[in-house]
Amino acid sequence: MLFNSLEFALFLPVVVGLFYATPIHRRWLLLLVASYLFYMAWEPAYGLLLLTSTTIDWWVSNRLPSVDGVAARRRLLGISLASNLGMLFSFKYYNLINTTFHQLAASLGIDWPLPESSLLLPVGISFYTFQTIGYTVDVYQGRQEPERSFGRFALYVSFFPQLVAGPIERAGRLLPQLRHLGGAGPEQIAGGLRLAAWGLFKKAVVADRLAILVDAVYRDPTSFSGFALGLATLLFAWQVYCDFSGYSDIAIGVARVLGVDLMKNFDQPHLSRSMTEIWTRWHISLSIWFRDYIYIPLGGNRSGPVRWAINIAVVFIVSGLWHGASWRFAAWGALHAALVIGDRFTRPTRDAIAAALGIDRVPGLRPVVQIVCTFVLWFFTLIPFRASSLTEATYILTHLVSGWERFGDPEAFALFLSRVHLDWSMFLICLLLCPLVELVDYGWRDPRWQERARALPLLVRWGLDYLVLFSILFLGVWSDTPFMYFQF
Amino acid sequence: MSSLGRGLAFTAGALLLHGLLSVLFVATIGAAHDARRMDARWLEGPQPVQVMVAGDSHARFAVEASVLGSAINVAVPGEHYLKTLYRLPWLLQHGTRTTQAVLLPFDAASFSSFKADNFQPEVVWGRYVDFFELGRHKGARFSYAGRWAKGRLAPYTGELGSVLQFLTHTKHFRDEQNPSASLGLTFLEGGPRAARRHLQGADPWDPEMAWALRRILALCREAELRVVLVRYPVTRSYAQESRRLGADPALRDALLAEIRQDGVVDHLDFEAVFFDEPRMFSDGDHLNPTGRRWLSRLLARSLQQLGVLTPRG
Repeated sequence: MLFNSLEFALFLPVVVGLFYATPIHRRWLLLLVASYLFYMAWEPAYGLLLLTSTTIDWWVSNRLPSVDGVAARRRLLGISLASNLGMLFSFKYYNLINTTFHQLAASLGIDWPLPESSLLLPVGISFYTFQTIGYTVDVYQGRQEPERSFGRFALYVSFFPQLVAGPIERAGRLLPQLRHLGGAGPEQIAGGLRLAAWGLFKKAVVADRLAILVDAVYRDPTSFSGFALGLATLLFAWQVYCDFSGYSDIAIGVARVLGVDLMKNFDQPHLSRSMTEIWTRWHISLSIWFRDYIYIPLGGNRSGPVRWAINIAVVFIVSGLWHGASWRFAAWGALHAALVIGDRFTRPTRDAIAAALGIDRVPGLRPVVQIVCTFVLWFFTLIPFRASSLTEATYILTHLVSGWERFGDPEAFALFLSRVHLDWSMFLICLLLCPLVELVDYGWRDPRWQERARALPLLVRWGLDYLVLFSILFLGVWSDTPFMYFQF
Repeated sequence: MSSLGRGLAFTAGALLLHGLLSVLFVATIGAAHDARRMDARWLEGPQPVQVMVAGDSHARFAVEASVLGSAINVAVPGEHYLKTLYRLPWLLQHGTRTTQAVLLPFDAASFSSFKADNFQPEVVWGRYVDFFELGRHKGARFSYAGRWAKGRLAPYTGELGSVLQFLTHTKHFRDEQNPSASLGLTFLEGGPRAARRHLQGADPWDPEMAWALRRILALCREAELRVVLVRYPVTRSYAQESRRLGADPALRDALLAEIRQDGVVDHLDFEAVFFDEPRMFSDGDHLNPTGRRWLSRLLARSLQQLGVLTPRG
């Protein structure tokens, strides 16, 4: 069930109520049942998939400490990796590989015998398989004690706030909390509800409203001018940020209500000062996962610059494919790799240019320039991410500068708005929501703002809470739109 | 105050505000919506009419009831067959008016899925639509439970658009005394763009719409009402773009062959009557006052020939 659905609005208070009415030592069981119900609300068969993955990894992790010999331990780890990656391949990547071989074979005049798969991608599979792979690897490497209780391990894998779209949690962080579900105090509950409400605001009010314009343009980009394409891409930056960070905020907020602390997943990525920094602020849990389980094992930055660049390329191409089973996403990943590699190798040159231009002489100017330049680069990477094909992405990139002069004409702009199903007032609201989101997100992470907020009179705080609550209800777009990262 | 006390006080405040907002919404926007105003037209008088014009904006802006004579136009922009399926019986059951015939649109847009799931504002359409029956028909009885709940318990949810329209007297809240200034239709929108709005990204032949139309015809037969299916005028460019986007006239013709019954279910085709006369249109698919008067005269004559309408004087 979606977080922004009536079902979840009924599910959550029931689960929270039952949670606090249940003895502490039984709460894990309640959450386990609730998590499976949550997941199986999409499709009952998904529960079986989740249980299979859970069972294999629990068995492997509990066998590992008692097995001697590197080869035998590797075989065990291999079982876990094969089952998780096998599931991922079957549901997510089979058609991509099969189609690619089919096209290659056709170009050589050979018949490719394998049929296309009609299996639907189970929601969240990319997230929970990574979470369990991380756990099994940690146990293998001795960084994590295996969880003896099957039930608690199953809860670790299926914990409903973060099951379908992260954050991807480390066992060392989450398991101890699930072993002692003491719940949350009133302040923590209130804080969790506020964070969840803010996440819902970002999703229902901002992301889904921006999606109206973005989807209209990207559905038929060849019939829009460069201005429209640029505007849609710019707003897509906030759509995808609000959609995904909104989900994470709801997940973290809901978990906080249950007394569970999930890791931060976004840290105002639009304020990043380099493409490298963006990946320490965007989908942080995934970045950390890739760092710890692919980048560092490949050698990280311990080898020379060429090997480092290769490692970066591998990580980002795999990350691109994680985001989508298509060569377009692999190309998107490669583009990010190029930008991160370019960031490192051009830094001395950029520093020299900044010094020559005297940018550092003006306090605060350099960070602003860096943020703007980084955002511009991020903007361009969003095009292949959002477009439906590389061809379409190329069209958009090559037509971004055409037709701008027409939008000085109010009539032409009014026509554009009607084509994207908006009017002036809605459009202005869309524009205002973007900086509002950045401002409030800044407030969430700045301890001084939080102190000031806590010091406000109670009625003022409640007034702000009511404002957010009723803004969600009134301004929200309630059309069963799934979260974008569900498709990954 | 204890935490529990604070929590209860906060919740009570939220419920109070929610109640106030709901009442305000229903009293203003709920009462001023097009559908309510058209309902009031139907309900306010006891005089029977020979013809009731129902349907969407094509019907609303194409027919001047006074030109037809004994007729009333209760069409509402945005009303599709699934809505008419519930609104028509509601109208017939309420008030003291009666009618002998119902005009329904039979256009390309009538069968598109582009608005099939749109019942906003639910506080208005929920007056007629049985959301649980609709859900049951679609195989999941509670799939529209959210709409029902919204209409009855939280009417203002997601209704920013309605409020803006209300405040600017546009679309469903337009000023009837000065329609050309506040129709909410863009005069800039040509036929192709209007066709894209109706058909691009949508199923041009939504089986749910065909199902709803069949149900409406069955209801009219039970109520001994004649039905006239009308293809309202559109611009040539709209028609061409519709076909390009998959609105196949042959599908409509096949359905018509199946349901048509002389004297029970008749058909009038005015789609091409103003194909090359842009002066009749306010945009790609809606007539302006001039076009409306012309069409209404043509329609009146055709309805008289069918025996649906008695000639005046």
